[in-house]
Amino acid sequence: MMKVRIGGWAGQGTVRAGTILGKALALEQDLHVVQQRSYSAAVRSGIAYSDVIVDKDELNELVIEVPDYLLVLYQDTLDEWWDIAERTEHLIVDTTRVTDFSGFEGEVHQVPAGRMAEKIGTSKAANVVLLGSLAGISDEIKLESLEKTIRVEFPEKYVDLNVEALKKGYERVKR
Amino acid sequence: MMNPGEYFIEGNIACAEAAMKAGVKFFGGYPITPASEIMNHLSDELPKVGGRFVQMEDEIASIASVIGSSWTGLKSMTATSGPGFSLMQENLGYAVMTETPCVIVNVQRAGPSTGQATKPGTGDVMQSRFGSQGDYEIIALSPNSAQEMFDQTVRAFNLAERYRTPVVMLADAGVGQMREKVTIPGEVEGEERKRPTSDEKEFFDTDDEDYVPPMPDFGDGYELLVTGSTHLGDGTRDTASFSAQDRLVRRLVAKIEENRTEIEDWEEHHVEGADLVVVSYGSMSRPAKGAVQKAREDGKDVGFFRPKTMWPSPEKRLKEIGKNSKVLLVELSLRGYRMEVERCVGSEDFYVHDRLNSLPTIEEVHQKIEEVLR
Repeated sequence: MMKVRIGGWAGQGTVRAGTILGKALALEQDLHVVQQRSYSAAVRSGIAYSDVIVDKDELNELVIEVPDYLLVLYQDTLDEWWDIAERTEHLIVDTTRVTDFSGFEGEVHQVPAGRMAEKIGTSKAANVVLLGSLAGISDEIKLESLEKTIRVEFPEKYVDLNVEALKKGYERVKR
Repeated sequence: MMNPGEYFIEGNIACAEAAMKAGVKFFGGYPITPASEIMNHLSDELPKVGGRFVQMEDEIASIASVIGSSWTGLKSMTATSGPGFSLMQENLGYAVMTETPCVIVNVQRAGPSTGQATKPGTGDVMQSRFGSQGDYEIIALSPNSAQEMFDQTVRAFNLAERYRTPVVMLADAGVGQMREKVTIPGEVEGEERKRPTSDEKEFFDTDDEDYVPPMPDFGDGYELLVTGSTHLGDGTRDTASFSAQDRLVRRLVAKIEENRTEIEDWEEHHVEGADLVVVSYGSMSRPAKGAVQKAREDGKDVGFFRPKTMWPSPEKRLKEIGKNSKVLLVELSLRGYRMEVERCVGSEDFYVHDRLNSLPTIEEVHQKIEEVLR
């Protein structure tokens, strides 16, 4: 079983990223996947996150206490989740908006996803850059399945940009 | 409407797609978290398959519009959540009394009242059965995955048509809003309501073994009165006589009660002779099942039982289980299904693991199983 949480601030595309990841694993890699989004009863703003749980067999664990992979796109979100972050195996942060992780004892995968995405065309693709990095770190998540999913998930004019964002994120951690 | 194939979609979207596959041609509703995705999706897609979508002014009007459209011969539905479901109760009874086939999806959230709009709960189980006034029986289904949101929506329409009755889909925010792989088939088996043959005049009474009279459409020319007041077989109001009340209400109840073996559905594993059987339903049944699997890996003799029809409840099977095994009810509310399960399995060796607001981990339920077995 693999548990991934993608968290940030509302509007950063954390749910979108979770959906792409879930879809790639479910449809391209034929795994059992449950993806859930969390949001509160507010119009906008606040912490937003998406949980993706994956297994080879029938999936009945629907709750993530401590994710194996924790992707964070916003400082306030990390501050809120400090106790979870300290217990996760892989912490992956977008250093564009997450700058303070001092005191974290394990290895932090640092990806300037926002800045990288901006160079490609829009900082909005930071979520996809981080997905690429996740594929680079995890053995189970295949870059190709994410790419295939992005090609069908995004409107045509945003496909190339997002595929590039994905690959850049992947290469960044593979170097 | 989606082409046949595999999709990674939310339960609510699967529900909307299933409704279209089953032939829904009218949706009347009012948006409410966590059910709005059903309505949202159908507002885009239903007109494309020749259906009508209306956003009504509230939930009372929503179910009224659904009942009206069903009498024009269309498969009709609405979708709502707790507070909206409460508003629908009076007309739900009207649909029972007028024997109007329709599907009401209740994607349950944490209550009472407005409670926690984005959080799951299953506190409406008794309401779905007893919420409207008077004596009646109803059919209510409980899905536990995005795939079952599809499959059971199809079944809900079929049961509604087959038995000329409203059917409640008791989903919850957990299954409604989780994304999972859903297989959409090319075609689904679709049941159609019993229609009148030319010489019939009785559409609210029958001697048929299934207790289901034929149903004409508005405009067929029968000059039929459709009323929530007690009525005779031809629709005439009779609000005073013993015979009219006795014959109609007994048949309405019998229509579900006497057909219950055909309606009842459940999932069970390793129940026979188990030391303990875990009973659970809805999204909560997922971690409950996971906990049973974990206990069995430890060599414990634990079974799993999941009602897929909440009403009629799988009473006979639950009674058998209660006779032979300890029972642990695992549910996402404090009073959801408890009275019914306890009534069937008995209070002796009956245990409960209840929880509010969110689903537990498998480990949490597993610890309860260990505790009960100790």
